[in-house]
Formats: sequence, C-alpha cells, structure tokens
Amino acid sequence: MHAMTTDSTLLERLQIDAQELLALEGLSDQTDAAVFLGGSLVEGLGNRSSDVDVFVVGNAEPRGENVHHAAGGLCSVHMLGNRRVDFEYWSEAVVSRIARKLASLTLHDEGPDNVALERRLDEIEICLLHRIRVGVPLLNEPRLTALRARFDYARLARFLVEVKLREIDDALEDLYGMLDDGDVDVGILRARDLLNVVCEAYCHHRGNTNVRRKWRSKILASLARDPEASEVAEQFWSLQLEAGQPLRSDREAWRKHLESCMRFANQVTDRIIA
Amino acid sequence: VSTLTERDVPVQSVRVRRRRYGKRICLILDNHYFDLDEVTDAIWTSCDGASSVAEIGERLHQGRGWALGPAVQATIATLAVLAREGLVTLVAGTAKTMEPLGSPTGVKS
Repeated sequence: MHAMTTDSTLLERLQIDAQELLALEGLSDQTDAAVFLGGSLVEGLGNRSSDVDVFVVGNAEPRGENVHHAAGGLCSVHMLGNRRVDFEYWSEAVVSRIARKLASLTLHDEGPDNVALERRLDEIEICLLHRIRVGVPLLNEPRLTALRARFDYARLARFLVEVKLREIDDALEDLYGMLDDGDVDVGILRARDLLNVVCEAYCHHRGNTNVRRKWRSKILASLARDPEASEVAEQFWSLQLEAGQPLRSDREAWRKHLESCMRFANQVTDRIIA
Repeated sequence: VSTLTERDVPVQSVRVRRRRYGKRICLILDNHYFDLDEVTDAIWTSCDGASSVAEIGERLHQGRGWALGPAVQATIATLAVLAREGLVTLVAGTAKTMEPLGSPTGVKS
C-alpha cells in the first residue's frame, strides 16, 4: 500500500486516481525520492486541458518508454485517460547545485561571477524551485518538507524582482525613444510588454515565485483581495485594454497612452523599491 | 523656475525613474543619475501630482518634526532643483509668491 499523503480533494477535483497515476511509473513509498504534484493545476491556474506534472526528486530513474532530457532532468511522458502526465525526475546532485546557486546569488549587477543578473539562475531551475515550494505531496511527504527547507524563497522572490526591474528599465528606455520618434505601432506593443513586466514584478514583490508568463494575470488576480493589489490589477487591465485603433490613428491619444503606461510602471516600481 | 508658490503642484516627469542600489537612491533621467538623500527622496515621493508645495512641506514638517517654516523652505529649495533638472514640472498655482530660491542640497548629479 502506498503512503498516500496527497490532498485528496485536489485529486478528486482533477478526477485522478492516485494509485493509477503512480503506477504509470511504478512509484511507491519505497521510492527513494520526494514525489509530488506540481504545475499549474496544483496552484489553481490551469484548465481541463492542462498537463499533470509529477515531480520525483531524489534517487529514482524513469521507467516509461517515452523519456527525454529536460535541462538537467529527465521527463517521462504518459497519458492517463485524456490527460497527459509528465513525470519529471531530478537528481539530488542537480538540486544541491541549484541550492548552492541560490544561496550564493548576488542580487545586484556586480558580483564575483560577473554574469548578467538574469542569467544567474535558469528559468527551468526557477520553475523547479517554485514547484517544490507549491508541490502537493504524493509520496514521502517529509522529504518534500525537507527539500523546501533547503531554499530561501524570499531570496528567490527578491532576485526575481531585481530581474524584472531591469526588464522594466529596458522597456522604459525603449519607450522614451519611441515617443521621441513617433514610432506608433512598436510603441503600443512595447507599452504592453511594459505592463506585463510590471505585473510580473509586482507579483514577485508580493512573494510569488511563479515565472510562467502566461499566468501573470491570474496570479495578480489572486493577490487582488487587498486594496493595493486590487488597484494595480485595475490599472493593469485598464491600460492593457485601451482601444487599439484610436491609439494608432490619433497621435495625441497614443502619446498619452504611452505616458500613462510609463507612469503606471513608475508608480508600481516606487512601491516595490520603497 | 525662479519662484515657486505654495499652491504650485509638482508633477514627477514620466521619464524619470527612481531606483535603489543598496542604500543609494537615485533618480534616472535619460542617462543622468541623481543621488538623493533621505529628505529629497521624501519630497520626491510626495510629488504625486495632487499635492501642492505647501502640502508637501507640511508633510515634511509632520513626518520629521521640523518646524513648519524650515520644512517648507527645504521643500521649495529642493523642488526648485528638481524642476531645474527636468525631474519635475510645476503646475502653476495662484497663491502668494514664495521667497526666491536658495541653494538646496540633497540632489547631486
């Protein structure tokens, strides 16, 4: 009998039988690894078409027939009914390396490694850390708890904020030039980039460590129970959905829109760095 | 800008961004960096596009325990520099004209 510790409500909601799921890879409580559900479904972000992601962190090898390398890990792909299920295997050595990287990360531009800030942690490493953080245990829950304790998530969030602040600066500098040169279409789209990055920066500032861009608005909405986040969300949507055609044909409306987006970025970053 | 009035409303330039590098706080306009001290930063962040010079001075007085007069004078002097450097614009008010500007400290380019 497996040591089932999963939130059964979640599995019921997903209409997944845990035994069937684990059997796809022959996983049991004898498996020398933390086994947990991760991915968008766990966070309430995904939809009925979303894949199920199972993470196996420790000393275990995939047993499926459809296995591929995934940047430091291995991914074994299955189908369970109509759902795709990915089992991601990560070794202790890789996890230790990422833990060391996070612990020694410098959060400003200078630093012993002299590497651009955004390259100091890979997106796939950040995703793994986040999934460990929010994972729902399937087997060996204490191992998942111990795994989480190895990472300073507040530090990770601060790193992500710093990276996003640089992206905001890039977008703002682009927009200054576009305003000067009247580069209308590119300016409109770059302003939307700016809004998106501001949204991501704010979510990281609030401690969220999910870096999947497609979920940014849902994450922001999940924060919007307090007045500040609610105000940020409202401005974000108001600027994102400002009518496109008048902006393209009316130069004054275009200029005002870009300036409003820039002002929004300045207001939110002021809150972030206060 | 040679004079400011109590009712003038300073507005942050949309092209200026405020950034923190460790303990250092800067305003960045194009490629020019302006280091801010704590008081100047407080004045800058009070420039919300709605507060008048007098209200910002009052806030400085309340927040720092300074006498009202020096707080307003410091606000005026600082805003004059911020305006001269293009970091804020001033929407004209209709109140009495303040004293000519002194030479403020706290903003270094």
